[in-house]
This record gives sequence, structure tokens and C-alpha cells, in this order.
Amino acid sequence: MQKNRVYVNAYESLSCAGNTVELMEAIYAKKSAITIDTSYMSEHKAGLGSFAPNEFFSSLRSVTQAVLDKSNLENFNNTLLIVGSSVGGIGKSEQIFFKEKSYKNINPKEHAISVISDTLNREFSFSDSRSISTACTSSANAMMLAQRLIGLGAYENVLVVGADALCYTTVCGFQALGVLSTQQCTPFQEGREGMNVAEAVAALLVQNVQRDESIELCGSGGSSDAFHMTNPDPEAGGAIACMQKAIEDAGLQASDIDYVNAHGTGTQANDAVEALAVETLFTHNPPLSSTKAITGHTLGAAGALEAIIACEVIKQQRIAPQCSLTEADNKNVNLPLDATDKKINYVISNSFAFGGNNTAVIFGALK
Amino acid sequence: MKMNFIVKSTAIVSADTKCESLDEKRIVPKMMLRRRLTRASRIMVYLADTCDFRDGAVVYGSAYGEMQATADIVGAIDANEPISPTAFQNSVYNTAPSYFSLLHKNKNEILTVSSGDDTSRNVLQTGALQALVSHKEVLLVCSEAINIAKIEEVNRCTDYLESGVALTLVSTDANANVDVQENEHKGYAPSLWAMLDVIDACQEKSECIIALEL
Amino acid sequence: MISTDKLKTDLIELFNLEGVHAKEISDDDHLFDDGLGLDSVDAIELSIFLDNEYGIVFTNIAESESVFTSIKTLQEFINTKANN
Repeated sequence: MQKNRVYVNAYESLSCAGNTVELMEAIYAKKSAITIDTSYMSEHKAGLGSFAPNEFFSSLRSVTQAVLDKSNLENFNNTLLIVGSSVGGIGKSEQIFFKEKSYKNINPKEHAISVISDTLNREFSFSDSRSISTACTSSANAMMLAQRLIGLGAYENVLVVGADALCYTTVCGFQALGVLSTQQCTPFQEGREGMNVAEAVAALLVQNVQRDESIELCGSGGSSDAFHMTNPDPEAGGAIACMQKAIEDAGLQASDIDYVNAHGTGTQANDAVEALAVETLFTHNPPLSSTKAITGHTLGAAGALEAIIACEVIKQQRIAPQCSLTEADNKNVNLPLDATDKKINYVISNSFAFGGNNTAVIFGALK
Repeated sequence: MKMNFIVKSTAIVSADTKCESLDEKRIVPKMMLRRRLTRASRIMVYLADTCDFRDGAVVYGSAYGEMQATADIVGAIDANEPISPTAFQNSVYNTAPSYFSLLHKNKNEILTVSSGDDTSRNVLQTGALQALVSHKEVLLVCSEAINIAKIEEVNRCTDYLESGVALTLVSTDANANVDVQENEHKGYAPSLWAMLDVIDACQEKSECIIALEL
Repeated sequence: MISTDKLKTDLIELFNLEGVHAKEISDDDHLFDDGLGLDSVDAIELSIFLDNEYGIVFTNIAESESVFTSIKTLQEFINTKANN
């Protein structure tokens, strides 16, 4: 049914590692930007990924402006905005409640996910907007919808914005589940402790026109585990299914994939299942790494942030190494310890979420 | 871009405080699953059951999500008490459709939209897209479940503290045979209105075909 | 000292096991998998409950795993710790 080819033509991000240029430098230098924090939970240390406090909303505006400046557009009047976010404005609600012990001064519209699109609409006047909130697959699903809408010819321009701020609910919540690490996370490592919650803003302009610097958004696919609310299916059925769907959607074979950017949170459960899925599906053993070792897990922003990383890996023709790995848990997958220059045509980016929600998105170099 | 869709089934439920007749024991016979369902989850599986829908892509929408779980978590943090991991896993906006997925072993794409007052309009648009792409019937559900202690401190948008609306769509080449009018639906949160508009338009038709913007 | 009946009643309330009565649960019933059917999230809830109710804190996962085998092993563990 797809009529048009779909291209990623401009992007920018802000994470604990800095902007996109700084992030890629950190990835290739294997320099984690996670810091150890004791401010959220006095009795527990937590490895977290944060940028300057109180800058989340100003960063939304500056990152979006940066994408506009890099694009071929004068403005976003003919652009659909699709936001992916897991917590929206909950951080402000928490602060009000902690101070006042009451909901009275909480503005519901500033609490909700839609606070992000409202903030951006006030500044940029998009033709329309919508917001997706599927926990850790939020902005990956936003990318999937952007690809489908442009492919069908329903829109010419879609701006995907993935954004989540650190807040007590997620830091303390993941601690309650017993999956938070006290250190910088170590994806795919034997005996890994857990994940680092992090914040980020990442924006990508997806269009139906090819430009010199374009990366093609080739395919995407989603699935549900239907297994458990927080534990992934140990047989990796859902993870394999979403990657297979994305590969089929892109008109490719599994053997065409040159690099897998993992969801790779650093938890026992996720990394074991994901490594099994990659081992099963990609028998040609492509390089696999999780850049969450650098950025932490940016929750709803992860799909968009890692889409940018996938695009950069293709532009730089350089595989992202696995940071913080000394002993791999699964010895059958290819976890490169060094940044390697390689011919890279196709990259698949995975995101997996609570509720067993899985999404994979494939990016390709221009032919 | 407008495309046409058959509205195969519809369902609405609402209550001033708590929806009483959600038939949970029949719809969710396994107690170990039923015990964890949030209010929004119970509303969702009830609406899906009314539409006789189990397998296929789902688009769920809620402007305010899982308020009880969120209130429990923030309250526990404030009181310096341990957070319930069950509350945390139940606090994401896609909780309700995830329990639906578990109940029916539905492994299809399940999306959640949360766009404030535009939520059900965007659910219709996203559901239309998914119906086109999947070539199958898709389920659209929109609900608000805000019957929590002290909600009166902030609730200025709805008389019904629990409400939900559902419909299923199949894409078609046939022409639309109804015109969907925009109305205010007194008592319901504005986040449900666009889907209520569709249900109103389909009232008198045995087969209702609508045009939807992607 | 707590009885297995009291423990069963507490667990029914903790895990919201609607429609289940204490007399339907045998002392030898496993807590996880084929018995009560609790999962890993319930295990965490149980640890929180034991801390709040009895001041019992596990030092490692292996310790909790052996204790959480059945109603009886859990009851005996609580009574041992409560006596110390």
C-alpha cells in the first residue's frame, strides 16, 4: 500500500551526553554520560542520565528550532507533529503535590502527555499534532506512524519528537521493581545490575522528499508479547515478530541488516531476551550494541533518540561499540568492543516496553 | 487525506462515580489476571467484549491515563513509604490495552494516544491508519477513569468520573453514507467527544460508513 | 506467632485474591507457579509486606527464594524471625 519513499532529513537531540554531535563522540569514545545520584532516593544510589535541571521545556523549544533551522522548511505550518512521551508533565505535578499535599494547583493540561505538543504548538504552529504514550516504545511508535502516513501520501512533513524528563515516579518506580542500577549500566554484561533512568529530547523531520543528506526510513513493525505486564516473553517471540515485520515492511531479508541498535536497557530480563531474539533472527551475526550505556534509558524519548543514533551510524559508516562490556552474557551475539568503520546500508533500531509492546524501525543509506 | 471505513460495532459506558456492571468475572475468568486490572482496564475489556473484538490491532486513548496508580505512587513517595511495583507497572498510559492483550493473547500492534481534549479525534485518525495498513478490523477505545480520592480538587472537565467509548473499523472502497457532526456531549470529558460524534451519526444506520481524515 | 490461617488471610488481602477463602488454600500450596500462581512482581510486594508487618528484610534474593516456597515455609520463617 505504501506509495512514497520516506526520508529522515533533519534531526537534533539533547541528552545527558549533550547534543547529537557530542552524543556520537561519546558513543564512539565509549564514554558514558551517566552520573550517580542520591537526590531522588536518600537510601539508594541511582545511575541516572540528566541534563541541566529545569531545562526540559526550554530544550523542547530549542531542539525543535534546531531541526527547523537545519531543514528546507520556512516554518512548520505544513507539518504534522507526532510526540512520543511516557510521563508528559508529571514532574511538575509531583513538585506541586510534594509542596502543597493537594492537587488543587495542578493544571491537568500541564500534567498530561499533551503538555509537550501544547508547548510546541504555541511556539511553532504545526498543521496538526497527536501524541503517543506507550511507555518505552512511545517515540518508536511515533516514527512508525510517521513512516506510514508519509508512505501513504497523507502528509508531506512529519516532525517526530520524543521527550521525557526525569521524575520521581519513574526513578522510584523502577527502583520498586528492583531493576535500577546503582552504577553506569552495563548492557549485555554477565551479572549486570540493571538500568539507568534518563531524560532526553529528540526531534526528527521525516519527509517525502529526498535530499543529499537523507537517510531513508525503510520500514517498521510492531507486536505485543501478550505474556506479562513487565517481564518480556523469555522465548523472545514478540521481539522476533516485530523485527521480522519491520524487515518485511522494508522489503529486505534479515541478512541485509548491518547493525542492530538494541533496546539494551541493562536489565537481566530485557538483555537476555533481546540477545536471544537477535541470535535467532540474524544468523549472519551482525554487530549489536546498546547505546543506553552512554545515554541511559530515556523512556518515551528512546525511540527517537536511538533513531538519530541509527541515522548517524549510517552517515558516519561506523559501528557503535558496546560500552562498559567486559564479559558478554550471551556468547553467540556479536558485541563489538571498538568503533569500527564498515559499509553500513541498513540499521535496525529496537524498542520494547511495559505491556509487552515491541517496535522495530529500519533505516537505510541512500542508494 | 480522507478514507472510508465501515463502523462495525460501537459501545459506550459511563457512571457518575463507578461503572458497576462491567461483567468482569465472565469476561476475565482467570482471577490471577482479573485481580490486577485497573478501572480503565476493566472498562476497556468490557467495551471490547460488547464489540465482540479479540484479535486485531488496537488503538486506545486516554487524556489522563491511570490516575489511581499515579496518585498511589506519588502519595507513597511523599509519605516516604515503599512504592508498590504493581502500581508502577499499572501507571503507564498503555496499561489498559496491555491487559486486553494479555487477556486475549492478542499479539497485534497496540498503540495508545494521549492528546488531551483531542484524544478521541486522534484515536480515530490513528485507528483509520491502522485499519488501512492491516486490512483487518481494528478496535478503537477511549476512556477516562478518574474516580480517585480528592479528584474534586482538579476535575473541571467531566461529570462522569468513569466513562468509555469504543468502536471497530474496517476500511472500505464504498462511499460514506453518514455525515459526522461535531457536538458537545454534556457530562463526558471532551477527550471522548469525537468518538461519541461518530456513534451518534451511526445510530439509525444498519451499516454505517464514515469518512475519516488520516 | 502467626498461624497459617492468619497468613493466608493476609495474603488474600495483599494480593487481592478475590473470591478465594483461606480454607481453600492448603499449607503445602506453593506460592508461585502451580500453587497460588504469584509472579515476580508479587514477590516484591511480599517483601515489602514482610518488612512493614514484621520488620523482616532479606539480605539477598536466594534467601527469599527458599522462604517463599509454600505457605508453611513462609509461616515458619516469619515465626522464627519474630522470635529473634
